[in-house]
Parts: sequence; C-alpha cells; structure tokens
Amino acid sequence: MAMKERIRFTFAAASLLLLGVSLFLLLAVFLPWYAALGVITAVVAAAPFGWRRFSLDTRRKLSENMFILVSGATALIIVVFVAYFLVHIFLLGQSQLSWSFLFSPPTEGLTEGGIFPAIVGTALLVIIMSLAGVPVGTITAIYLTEYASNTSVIARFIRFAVNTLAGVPAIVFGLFGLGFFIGTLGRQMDTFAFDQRMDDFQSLAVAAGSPFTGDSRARVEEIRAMFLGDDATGWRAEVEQLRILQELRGEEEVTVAEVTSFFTAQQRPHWGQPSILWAALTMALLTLPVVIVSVEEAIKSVPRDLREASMALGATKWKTIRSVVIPGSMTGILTGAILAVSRGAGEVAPILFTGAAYYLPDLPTALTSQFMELGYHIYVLTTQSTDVEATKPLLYATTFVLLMLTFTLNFTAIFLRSRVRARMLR
Amino acid sequence: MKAPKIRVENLNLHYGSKQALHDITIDLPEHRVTAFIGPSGCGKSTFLRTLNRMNDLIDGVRITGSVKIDDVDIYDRTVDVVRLRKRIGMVFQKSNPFPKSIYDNIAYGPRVNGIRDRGALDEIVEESLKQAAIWDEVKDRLDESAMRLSGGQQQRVCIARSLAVNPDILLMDEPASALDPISTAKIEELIFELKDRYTILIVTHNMQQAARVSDYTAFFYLGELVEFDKTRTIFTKPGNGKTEEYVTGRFG
Amino acid sequence: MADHILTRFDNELEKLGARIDAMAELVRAQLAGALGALRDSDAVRAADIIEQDDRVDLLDVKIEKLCMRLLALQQPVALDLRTVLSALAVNRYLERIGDAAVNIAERVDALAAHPALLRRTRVPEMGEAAQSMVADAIAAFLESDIVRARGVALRDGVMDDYDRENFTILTDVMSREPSLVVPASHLLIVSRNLERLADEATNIAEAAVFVADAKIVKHGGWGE
Repeated sequence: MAMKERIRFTFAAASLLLLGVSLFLLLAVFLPWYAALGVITAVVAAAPFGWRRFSLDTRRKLSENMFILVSGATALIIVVFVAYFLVHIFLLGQSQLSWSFLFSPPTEGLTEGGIFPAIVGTALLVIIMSLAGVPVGTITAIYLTEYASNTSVIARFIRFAVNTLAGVPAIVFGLFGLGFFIGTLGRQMDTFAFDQRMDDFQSLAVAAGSPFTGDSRARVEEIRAMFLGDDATGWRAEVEQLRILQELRGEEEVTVAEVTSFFTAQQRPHWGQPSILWAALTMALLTLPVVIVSVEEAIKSVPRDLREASMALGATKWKTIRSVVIPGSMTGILTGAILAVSRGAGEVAPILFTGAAYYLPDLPTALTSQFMELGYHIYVLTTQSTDVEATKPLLYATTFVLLMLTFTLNFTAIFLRSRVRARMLR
Repeated sequence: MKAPKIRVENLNLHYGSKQALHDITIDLPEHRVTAFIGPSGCGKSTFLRTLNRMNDLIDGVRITGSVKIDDVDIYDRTVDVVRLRKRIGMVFQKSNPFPKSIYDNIAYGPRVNGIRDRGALDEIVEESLKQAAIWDEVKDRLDESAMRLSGGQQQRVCIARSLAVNPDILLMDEPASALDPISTAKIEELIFELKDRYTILIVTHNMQQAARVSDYTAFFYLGELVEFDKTRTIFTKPGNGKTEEYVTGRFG
Repeated sequence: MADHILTRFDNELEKLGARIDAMAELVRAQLAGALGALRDSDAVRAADIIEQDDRVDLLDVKIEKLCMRLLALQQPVALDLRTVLSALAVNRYLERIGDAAVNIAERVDALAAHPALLRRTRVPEMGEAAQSMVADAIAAFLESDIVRARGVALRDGVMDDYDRENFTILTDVMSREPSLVVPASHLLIVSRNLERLADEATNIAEAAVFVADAKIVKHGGWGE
C-alpha cells in the first residue's frame, strides 16, 4: 500500500478502536462487562463479512465517509456523557433543590438548609476578580503588542513571566496569596493603619492634658477616664482593655511603649487576614495569563491596514489603539474575560487559605469579610460533614448549582460577545 | 512645470541591509495626476509611502536625502509627523474601511482633529462623500456599517474618508487593483475630477490605467527612477529603451 | 450609446469629430474655390486657394497627433477603435482631396484664356458631381449614414465615364487644333484630378460603412 493509503488505514483503524472502546464503556454502564464485550466482538467479527458484501462503489463511499461517521459518533458520545453526567447529578440532588435551598443559609452543622451565602460569595469573588484581572491583563497585552518591540528586554521578560505564571499549580497561588497578600501586604497595611491610630491616640491624650508622651509615665486610671467618658474619639474599646494591663502589671503607671505593645498584642488583624479581596486578587493572578494571551491574539488579529489607515489620517498611536484596535478586538477581550471567569468560578485551591470560610451564614459585607464559596462548600460537605448520608443530596444539589452558575456566566458572556460582534457588522 | 508641489532629491531608502530606493530625484507637479509604474518590487509603493512617512512605521528603515513638500523637508527633526499626515491623504490597495458606520468612517479624521460639533461633522461627511461621487448611493444609510458595501463602494468611501481632513495631496496605492472594470473606471473618473483640488500621486501596476488617468508618469525599475515625463510622451515615444520595453509589454 | 464613464475619453472623441468636421469644411471650401476660379478664370482666387493649403496640412497633422494620443492613452476597442482608425484614414483622403483642389487651382492661370474649351468638355459637370459626392461622403461619415454612403459609391462610375469622355474629346481637339495642345493637356489633368477626387470621396464613404458596420467594403466589397 502507498504511504497515503497506509496513513488513512491507520487513522481509520485507530478511530474504530476508539469508537469500539467508547461504545464498550457506554454499554458497560448498563450491561455486565462480558455482555458488552460480547456485543462489541460480534460487531467487529461481522464487519469484514458485511464489508465484502458492499459494492466497490459503496465501499469507497463508506471509506470516504469514515471520518465523518467516526467523528460524529465521538461527538455524540461526548454529548451523551455530559448529559448523563448532568442528569445523574440532578437526580441525586433534586430532593434538596428548592427556592429555600437557594436562598437560605446552611444550618444544623451543614446537614440542612441552603447555600445562599455560598452562591453570593462565588458571584462576588468572580466579579471582583474580573474587575481586577481583566483591565490589567488587557493593558499588559496592549503594551506587549503595540508598544514594546518584540526583541526588547522588557517584552521578553514579561512574556517569560506570563508563560511561567501559566504553569504554576493553583495551590501555589493560594500559598502566595497567603504569604504575600495576607502575610506581607495585608499586615503592612494593618501596621501602617495601627501606627496612624497610635499617633492619633497619643496626640489626643496629650491634647487632653495627660503627660502621656515619650518616656514619661501616666496613670492608667487617667488615660481610661480620658477616653471612657466620651466615645467620640473611638478609642473606648481599646481603653476598656487597659484594665487587663493594669491587672497584669499590678501597677498604676505606664509608659507609651508599654501601652503600645499592649495594644499591638490585642490588635486584631483587619487587612492581614483572609478576605474576599485577597482571594479575588489571588484568583486574578491565576487567570492573568489567560487574559493576556487571548487579548494579545485579539489585538494581533486586527488587520494592519486598519491601523495604517488610521495613522495615515493623522491619528496618534494611542488614538489609533483607542478608536480602532480596542473596538476591533473587543470580542477577543471578552473571550479572555469569559475564560478567566470560567476558571475563577471553578478553582478552589487558591481560595483555601485566602478567604474561603467553612461556615459563615452572614453575607460578606466588606472587602475584608470572609465568604463561603460553592466549590469549597462541596469540598467541605464531602470531607467534613458529620452525617455523610444526610449530606449526600445536599452535595449533589450544590454541585448542580455550581455547574448551572458556571454555565450561566459563560453563556451570558458569550451572548454579550455575539452582540458585540453583531454590532460591528451591522 | 510651475513650482512643483513636491521636490525629492537624492532619496535613498534601506530596509536593514537591503536598499530599496536608489538616489531618487524628482519634482512632482501640483494639481496634476502623476502615476508611478514599474514591475513588481521596483520600489514604487515604497517611494509613495516615503511621502507621508508611513515607512517610519517599519522597523529598521533608514532614509537619506530630502523630500520637500512646499519647500519644507518633511524628514527634518522639527516636523510633526502626525500633522504631516493630516495634510496628505492615503488610499490603499485593498479598501480598508473601519468596522464602523459609514458616517463614523468619514468623521474619524475630523474627530481626530478635534471637530466635535455634530452639524459641522454632518457637513464634512456630506461634502466628502459628494466629492468621492458616492453620496447619492449611501446618503440614506450613513448609519449602516461600511463593511456591507461592495468593493468599489468601500474604496470610494475610503477616498471620501481621506478627503474629509482636507489634505493637499492624495496618495493612492493601486486603488483599483482589487476592483472590477466598471468600478475601476468610476474611480479613474473620480481621480480626474479631483485633480483640480488636489495633487494626486497614484501607484499602479496597470499601465493602461496610468495612460488613461495621469498627466505625468514616472517609471521605476529595481529601485531607480528610470524616466519621468508627460504621460503622452511616455506612451508614444519614451526616451529610455527600458521604458519602451516595459510599456510595450516586453518585460515585467 | 451612453457616454463613457471616463469623460476625458468622450471629450477627446468629441474633439476628434470637431477637427474632422473642420478639415472637411476647409477642403470643401478649397474644392469649391478651385472650381469657381476655373469657371470664372479668377487668378486671384486661385492664388488664395494655393496659399490655404498650408492650413489643410496643419490640420492634417493635428488630427494625426490626436488619433495617436487616443490610441496610446485610451486603448479604444470596438466602435471607438473603428472610429479612430477611420478618422485617420478619412483625414488622409481629405488631405488628398485638398491637394487635388490645389492642383486644379494651379492650372487656372494657364486656362484663363480658354473658357470655350472648358465648356466643350465635361469638366463643369464633373465639378458639380465631385462637389456633391464629397459633401455626401462627409455627411455619411459624420452621421454614420450607410444609405447615403452607398449612394456616393454608386456615382463613382459616372465620374469614370466623364473622365473617359473628356479624354476622347480632348485628344481629338489636340489632334485637330494643335494650338490648343497646352490648355487641352491641362484640362486632361484637371479631369484626372476630379476623377481621383471622386475616388477619395468613395473611400470616405467606405470608411463610414466600416465605422457603422465593421465591414470593409473597399475593392468591390459592397455586395448586396
């Protein structure tokens, strides 16, 4: 046989093998394995005989259509699997699906109730993540394609960084978020804020007449009296606790340093703790490479002669980018956003340490709040529940909701993108 | 020829190590159509693009010599390229309207120049489309996307777009090469009508088009200017043997 | 037919038509003048005609240049090509008619003293016929009138007959009255010129057919 013939033969044979195996698996779900095997063997055995009975013409046509048949069958099998998968989950969880499930918080140690906080948390996470990641990614992509020369050091460095970032495992992002955002950045922010407040405290104390400066000593009683009467200063809570200091030290006079260290010890972290903000930023980092690459491709796909037309009309480079390149690559930018969103709604590892909470019936009210999240909730239900049987339906229902949410986000974004596309060709 | 609009002296252009234009010296007349002809790769398009400094957009381009428009060397350091390009309109080989409405395409240039008033823009759009002989065909669908027009119509919209900024000079790089004969004839007729107001330079690989449409013709070969003369002379008794060989179709 | 999309093309064709028209007018005037001078023995008029030939030559050159430009720059085809090619030919024919007229005018001086001899020949009739043939041929060309053109071709035979008659008459005169040999010889040449002139008019008529029908009818191709 000629080389071309050989390739076709191999290809056809491999496709048939794949088809056979897939069919076997499919059948094996419903029939015992030996029955499935029997069916497949029968078909395979009968095939050659049947083949010979076809005329040369039909054989040729069949060979020609082999690829279409096989790929069509494979596609069908995939669709069937996905549908089966969805239906399976739905059926197992449907007993729990209801409006109250969707809109009420979990109760009874997660064995009853709903997943409303998790839904809200996931949605907020995705929104903040997109707001942070998509603009930064877009601007970076614009810089890389439009401004930086391909061989410049900066461009090569950025590309290297982006490629590396794309390969980093999700859990490592989580650790980075914990270490950098929470441990370093958050803590720095807290320290800075704390220092501001301490300065504030000192100047207030001095203004009220207490000798509370430098190394001089002041009586705890005095300090307390100064602040407890009038809470306009906002120091009441801390100053209340000075009582503990007094008890510990057994003395009545303290220095600034002692009060400062006491307050520091009592300090509860504000920014330096897991929160929805840090979780969203960590996710933004995770999806950044995806956004950059899609936007870069989209920008490159804007034909050169459109840019030239704009430049020839006397527009500056920036004006050209603003008015021609960005509108022209909007579909690509949205694609990048869609891909980022899809990933964000699904990844759990990065948010494990950076903000996801085990049980938090209250909705997140500030950027510093923690939040429940659907993916994490599934993990929790699977591994930490007190009554496995009771939580199974909950688990499947939650999974189903997560899938539906992901699909909705995707379809909304795709719909938006097709609207943009249609408007461009109007 | 009265005072030429464009004077080029000893222009040389290098792409990296390759030299694309050798020592070009030519005077291009005002309010006339000058055609640049020559076989593929002879440098005519490259030369055209040096006149509005579009070659600056390519990495590694080196230019020596002078190009003076109205006695000002456009490659002088003090020249603002963006302003230069506002005075020179360019029409490309394949029509390239922006994926916006027809109105927004024409208004793009004026808007870049800071004209915001809707009334003024309306006037400019109408005037430009009329000059490009396409107003009647599109006046009722200015808000439709320019991409929905036929090739010939798109090209005339592109011409209107470049006229909207009121240039002195119009550069056309094979503007009709992608069009059918009737659309081509319409564009040629348009060029003829426009030359009263503009100085037009047109690159064409179609010699017959150069014969029909231009007053002067320049023949380029291998990056050199071989002959430049009145079109009727080039096509009846050219002075250079190479020119005669080219126009009679003996090579190229 | 509609106008060309390129108005320049139409403008040039119009110019060509106008120039051919002007040439025709000029040549007809030359012919009328020469024949008139001959009939009236008007030497002054004859001298004028001879001078005007420069104008005919000038126009001849202008028309040729215009045709060359049209062919080189506008690449005419079909009807336009036939028009330009015919214009070139008709230009030449008209120029020859002009030359024939000048030739006749040159002999007015020599024939001034012999009006009687003139009347004995068929030259006066030839002159009338020639003028009408030229007029009809030009009109047929400018208006693409094939019927008229055909009419001109048919009358060519008559002119040949007249010429032969003149030859008989004049050779007879020369043998009987030797003193009249010189004027008779001049008249022979005048007759020949007029016969040639009629041929050129026929050529113009044939060109008219070429433009209208793309048929080349010369050398007996008139057929039906």
